Amino acid sequence: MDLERISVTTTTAPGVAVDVDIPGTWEVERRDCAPTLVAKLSAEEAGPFADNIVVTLEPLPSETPRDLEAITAISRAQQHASVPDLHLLEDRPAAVGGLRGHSRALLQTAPPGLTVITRQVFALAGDTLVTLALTSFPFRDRESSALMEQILDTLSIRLDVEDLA
Amino acid sequence: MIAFDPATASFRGPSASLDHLISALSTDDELSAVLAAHASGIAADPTMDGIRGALTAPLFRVGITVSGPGAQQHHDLLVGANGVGVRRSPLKDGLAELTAYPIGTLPGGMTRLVRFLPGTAPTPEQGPIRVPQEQLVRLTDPDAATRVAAWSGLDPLIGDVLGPAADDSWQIVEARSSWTSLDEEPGEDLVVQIRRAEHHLLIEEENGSASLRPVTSLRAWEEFIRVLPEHDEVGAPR
Repeated sequence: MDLERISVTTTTAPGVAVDVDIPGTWEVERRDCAPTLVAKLSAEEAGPFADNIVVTLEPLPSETPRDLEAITAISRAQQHASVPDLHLLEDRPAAVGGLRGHSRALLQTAPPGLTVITRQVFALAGDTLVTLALTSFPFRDRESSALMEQILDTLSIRLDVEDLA
Repeated sequence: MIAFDPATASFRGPSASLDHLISALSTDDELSAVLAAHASGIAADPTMDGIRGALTAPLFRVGITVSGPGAQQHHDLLVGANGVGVRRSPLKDGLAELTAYPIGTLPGGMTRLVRFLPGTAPTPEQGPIRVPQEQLVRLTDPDAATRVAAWSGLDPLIGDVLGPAADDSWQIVEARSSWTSLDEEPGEDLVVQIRRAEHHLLIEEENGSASLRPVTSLRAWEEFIRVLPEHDEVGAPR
């Protein structure tokens, strides 16, 4: 799979950039609000489900503790409350983009009644929560797990100190 | 006595009786005659045609056996060429069920059948653990006492490398898939893996010896789900 290097930034989280390789043929949409970037498999290649990558740079409210484990625990509870047929496969600390981070994997049922797997990583970059999630169709999981490996190998989270000053 | 629930497209009844019904549904006999012989009192239902279609022309099958200290359960799942999934599973008290399921939910269904749990990640130092192959075989024995005795021999070997477990739960999962390939040859695959509390281990065998490789729970799940054939491997049912 041919990958293309992209950089993800947002005006709402100045001074933070996420650099990562993603499939060059996927359709990319950038936003200045969450989610910051969505890349997805084209309709021609997708079949019943369009695998997709979502990157979010989310400035944390001042009252939120800068504690990644506490933040991911809250997000897990929110996912249990809102994601159909959620089944957790993994949820543990992990290195992400050169920072101390968190790794999660879960199954859910997506329309129109398909099991999909979401592989998700979290990291704190200063006051910004960075999340990246690859959601894919398990019937082609060899390709998806290889893609996630490539994404994580190329992922870099930059804190531009000059912009923060 | 076998009952049919049209809301869930499920037959339920004593195991032996259900298996006779499954065999009969897998033939070309008239449905009304099959029901009269094996599930008297049940009227034909349109969902039964889908179940029969899958039973008579399966694209691929997956047999999943989960063995632990207290119980051993075997589940049979198949995906029909008609796009219908059918699963046979044991229930309590000698009962079993045959039920249809949406084939797009097969990976989630398999995951829930084995009660897959998230786990911890091994450290780089926690490498493969050599174990006696015969102990692994005994771990899948239908007799619970044999399984428990086998685990009592394996657990210390695992503990020497991974340390104490968070609890004393364990299970071994065997998943076997079979299909007819595009060149009309039989295809099959087998995955066997162990969960010891929060630790997931893949079984590796080479030249008559066996070892257990500690992996993350995600890696274990990836191996488990790969027992399913790729879409370009499966030919027409024979």
